[in-house]
Amino acid sequence: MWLYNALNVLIAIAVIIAVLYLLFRLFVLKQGNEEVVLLPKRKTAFQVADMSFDSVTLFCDIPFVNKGRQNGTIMDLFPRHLLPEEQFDKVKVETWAMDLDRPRHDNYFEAIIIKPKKGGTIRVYVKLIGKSGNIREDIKGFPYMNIDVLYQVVGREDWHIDKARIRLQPEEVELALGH
Amino acid sequence: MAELELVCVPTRILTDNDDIVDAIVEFGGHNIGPEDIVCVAESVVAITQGQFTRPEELNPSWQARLINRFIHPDGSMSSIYGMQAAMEIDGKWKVLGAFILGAIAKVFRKPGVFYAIARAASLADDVTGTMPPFDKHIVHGPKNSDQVAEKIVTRTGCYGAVVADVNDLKRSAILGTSRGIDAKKIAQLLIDNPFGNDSQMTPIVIIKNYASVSAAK
Repeated sequence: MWLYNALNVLIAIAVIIAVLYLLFRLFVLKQGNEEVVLLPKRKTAFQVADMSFDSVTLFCDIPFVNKGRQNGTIMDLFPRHLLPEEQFDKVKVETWAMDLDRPRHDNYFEAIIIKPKKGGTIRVYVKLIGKSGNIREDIKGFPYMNIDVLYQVVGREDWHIDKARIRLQPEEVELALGH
Repeated sequence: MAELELVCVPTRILTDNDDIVDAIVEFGGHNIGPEDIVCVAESVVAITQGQFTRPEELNPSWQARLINRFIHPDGSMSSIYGMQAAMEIDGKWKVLGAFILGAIAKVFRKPGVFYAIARAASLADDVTGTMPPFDKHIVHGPKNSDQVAEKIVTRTGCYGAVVADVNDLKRSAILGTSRGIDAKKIAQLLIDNPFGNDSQMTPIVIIKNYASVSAAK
């Protein structure tokens, strides 16, 4: 008899835990998470920020938004340019990014909290430095260049890294140089 | 007659390579007298003690995943890593117990029980809570605040010292004092947050002439 009673108690405890867990999961589902995303399709065209004899610096703006229902934090963000020497070997490339609301040029991305349904703008800079010292000559034949913008986000759930891809088109470079 | 004056002492960014007492002597030593109270921001004391961690270094427990869901979204404990960081200090079962007791206390309209029990949770600053390069870290509360305050008095010859946790929301708490200092009085003097919002840039505040003004009252 005692075994039967003990079994009943164990089953009751298991059912209570299962019900509480289910209620918690429903609560989490209703509460939601952050959903911070960059919107590369809405990026602006590249424009000239600075130009010298040997280099040109371009920038474009990419909006971001927190589509989720909880605060999200961009802990870190950086651009990764993809121009292998097999594709084009006449320029050296430097890229960096910043939050337009907190401009800085040290390539350090200050962590920011984004409230639900709010957003902002990331500015991505690309500096092309001619290897011969004459950017107008070196840039001739420049193909397109993909840039991945990697960003680390954290909220009520585990941190994760996402990336958004933008592209610097040869026409944008030519336009910038007045070709 | 001397008057109370709050003097902010700017420093460079202090890190875990610094000693807070050495920094006080270096940046504010010339301005500290025997009648003064030296106040230092708790987050900077914690940073110089190496009391910080990164989310990447933490493995959130189920307790952290559970409790953080019930914390206000603007609180440091609303992130699983902030919660886990507090649990690394206080223990996950203690924080869970504090949460349950806090929830029961709230039913009886007694707020603040959770943070009163889980002290590490009340002192932790989540990611973005401090200035770069510590904006990507979770900064815990400082260790041995009373001893830090005593060391400051011994090195500088000031009247007293405190480790303070002050913010722009009119919250002022003293975490540690040197002997004989009335924490409540000092907390009241710091209520307008003279450290500024980015307390890492002016982490030291000197209350000038405190001893003589207190004696005259």
